[in-house]
Amino acid sequence: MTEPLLRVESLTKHFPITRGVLSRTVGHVRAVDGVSFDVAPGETLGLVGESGSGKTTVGRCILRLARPTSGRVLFGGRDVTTLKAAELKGLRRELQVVFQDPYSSLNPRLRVLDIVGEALVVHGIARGADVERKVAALLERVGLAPAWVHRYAHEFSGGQRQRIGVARAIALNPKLIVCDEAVSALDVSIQAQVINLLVELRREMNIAYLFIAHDLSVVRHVSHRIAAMYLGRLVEVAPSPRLFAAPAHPYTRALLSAIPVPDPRREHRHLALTGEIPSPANPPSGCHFHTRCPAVRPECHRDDPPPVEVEPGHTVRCVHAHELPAGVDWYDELSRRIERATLDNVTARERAPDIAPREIEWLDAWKTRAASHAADRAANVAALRERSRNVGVAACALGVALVCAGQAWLGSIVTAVAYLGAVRHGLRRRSSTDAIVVLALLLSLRIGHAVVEHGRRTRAEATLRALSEQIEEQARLTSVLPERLSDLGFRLYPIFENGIPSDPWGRAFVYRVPGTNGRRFDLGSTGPDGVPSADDVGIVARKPAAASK
Amino acid sequence: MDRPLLSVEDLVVHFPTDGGVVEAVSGVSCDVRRGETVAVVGESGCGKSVTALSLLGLVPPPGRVVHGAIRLGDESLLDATPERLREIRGDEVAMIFQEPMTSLNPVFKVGDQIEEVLETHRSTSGEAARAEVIRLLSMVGIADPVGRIDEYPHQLSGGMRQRVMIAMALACGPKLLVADEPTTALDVTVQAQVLELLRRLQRTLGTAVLLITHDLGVVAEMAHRVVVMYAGRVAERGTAEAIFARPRHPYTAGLFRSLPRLGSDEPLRPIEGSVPDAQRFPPGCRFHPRCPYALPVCRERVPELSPRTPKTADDGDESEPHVSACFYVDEHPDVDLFAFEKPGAP
Repeated sequence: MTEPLLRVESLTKHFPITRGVLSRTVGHVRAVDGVSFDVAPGETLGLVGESGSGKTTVGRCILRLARPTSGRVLFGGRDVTTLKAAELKGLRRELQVVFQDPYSSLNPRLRVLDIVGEALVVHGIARGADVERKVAALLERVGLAPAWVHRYAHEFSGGQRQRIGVARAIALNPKLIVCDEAVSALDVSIQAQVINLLVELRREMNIAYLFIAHDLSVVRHVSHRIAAMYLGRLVEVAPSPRLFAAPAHPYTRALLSAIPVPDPRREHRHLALTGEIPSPANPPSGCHFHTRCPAVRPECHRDDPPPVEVEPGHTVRCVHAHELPAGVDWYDELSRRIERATLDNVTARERAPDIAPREIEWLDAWKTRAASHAADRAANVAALRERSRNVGVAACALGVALVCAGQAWLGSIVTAVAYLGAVRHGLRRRSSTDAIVVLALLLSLRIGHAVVEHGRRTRAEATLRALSEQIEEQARLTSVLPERLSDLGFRLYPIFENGIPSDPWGRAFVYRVPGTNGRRFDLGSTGPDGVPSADDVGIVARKPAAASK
Repeated sequence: MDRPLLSVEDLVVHFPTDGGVVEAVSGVSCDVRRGETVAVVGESGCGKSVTALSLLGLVPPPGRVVHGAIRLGDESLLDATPERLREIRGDEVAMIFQEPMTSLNPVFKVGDQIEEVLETHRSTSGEAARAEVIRLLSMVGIADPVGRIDEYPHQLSGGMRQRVMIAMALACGPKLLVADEPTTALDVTVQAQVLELLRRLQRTLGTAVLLITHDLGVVAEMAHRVVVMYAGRVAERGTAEAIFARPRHPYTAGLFRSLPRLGSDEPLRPIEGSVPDAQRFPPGCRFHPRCPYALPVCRERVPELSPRTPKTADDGDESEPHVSACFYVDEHPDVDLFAFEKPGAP
């Protein structure tokens, strides 16, 4: 066998996941996880897989656009991963790339001459007018008019831009071109033109391609061999016709069956491949594919089988592919095994009473959640009611106390609000009863207030009577009936001077100022004519002892 | 035959630009009947998305429908008031777009976004709406719908987002679902799942689907009838079987020849050149500069859509004549367009 042009040996690339201000590494995205393959000179290796399988990262590691975490990339015998910057320049001459997006991979401020000619100048292949001549020839080669060398990238359509990208890649006569989804963004008819161009160039210039794509029918068309990738690992490598004729890995089988075939008469029968590719930051244990594999076996959760060569040049990384009989009937045996395992899994799922259909599962989950939610809510509501009842009772008590302390209206309002607040949080539910209770409460408060008021008035009248009796007694003794208190020789101001209002007989008075409704007293005002009337006399509250001091 | 669910007649859409009026869609007609899938196929720039958008009055300004008729049942959508169109959108006609990430609002939970549809069109809200959303999510095959309902779009994968879009589109049980490249952004395995889902839902709910796509494989799997568009015009129209078995327009045949087929090693024979710029459509048949069969008349006159007699009985359905617009096929009705060489040419 000839020496391979490119040899990739157990290539891994892990991207750190960082978090926080200090960019602590909290894990790794294992984008490429031990990939090995060869590419011979002039050969095309197709690399297929779903997005997130790591195929682009493999390409970037080979180009040294990303530095591999471990493993070797031997290109023409030299290890690309350890090359110094100066040596890389030599590598770039032989190793080129065509990117997917023809819009972002061409500098819009440069002319085609500069885009394609830059490499020629940098590598000292051409200079001056020679550059333009060479670029024109390259344009002609990729099917563009040589006169377009002075145009800018935006003047071209998508397909033409991709041709410019190809011209740039072949300018240095490379040995290998990495085509990363090079035709995926193009329309069908344009895509076919570019594919034909790539195939022609391969034939003429003996270029090898690493053709990275997700469209299997395109890959099949251009590739000699195909490698299928899943979550950073190669699951199957085979010569292109064999991969399609005898796909051995359950993933490859599913992938092939998922391709829509442009023939409406063909009955579409897709293999059941459920779910989507898991995150490479947290790949499944054992065989990475076991979470979606229809033919999964119990040991797949644990073991990751090494790749086996089932026939020359066809390696498979699957537990079913181990210990197959040699010879032509290996594929029948493998298919039988996979089908049997799939059937076993289906029947196991049907038989097992603990595995309910998905609908029932989610319904149960929902019911459980709803029930626990309701229980939580009930508990919360109960706690809340308890609390609000306590607060309500306390506030009612405060209100009653306020009423007793003479603040009848404030007290009533506090009580009513407290009661309503407590009710709102569930002491009672029916608002009609609430209204009755509140009315009754207000009424009783009013009655209580009236009773208190009546008592106070009675006492005040008694005091006034006592005062009048004292005055009359004094008048009898002095044979003068005074009209005013001051005529008795008492002045009200001095009475209040100690801060404690008291009558001449040492009893404390509370004067009420008319019109202020409840204000207790005001030293500046002593009643309408300086004579306290029955209305002006409040509760006799203090003992004379306090006044004597 | 009963009246089609949706009928588009002679639709013309203009985009006034600095460089003159661009006619993005020129005289497109097609019907969609109840419960069937009609695929509109073409390369980028052929006007298929503009056609779909004009159905719901969503042509981006300054674009304008200048001529034609669009009828949903008995109602003319071009004469409908903006309020009436808002009622129809999401209710009788729903739409799913190519990029589910940009069609979902990133700051709202997916459950709330579906609930909004139900609230707007069905006045369902609260627990009932939530239960309905869970039912819809499980219907489109989302595992753990109860958990997913409170997630934001960025927490879902691409396939999951497209399922959410489909759930949202089906929330009100629309009669017609317009799907603009619904699987283009998805991986092939996920695409297969989504197509399977659409087929299953169509079977169970009887929704008609207008599928806009460039992928002939998807067309073959999904469509009952196909409309092939090129440069704003209908090139060919017919049942999927008839068109795939015997294309009657050189453009359709060219598309097929451009496809790498599994199990065939022949070199591809793509159409030369590329889709013309809409500002500089060539006169006559717009395909003639790329057409290997072009006749002198193609440069001057626009070919009409003419019926093609099916060669065998099972090729065509009587109710849906296979039509194409090509002078060459008019003259040589039996030409095998796959063969690529002109019969009778020296």
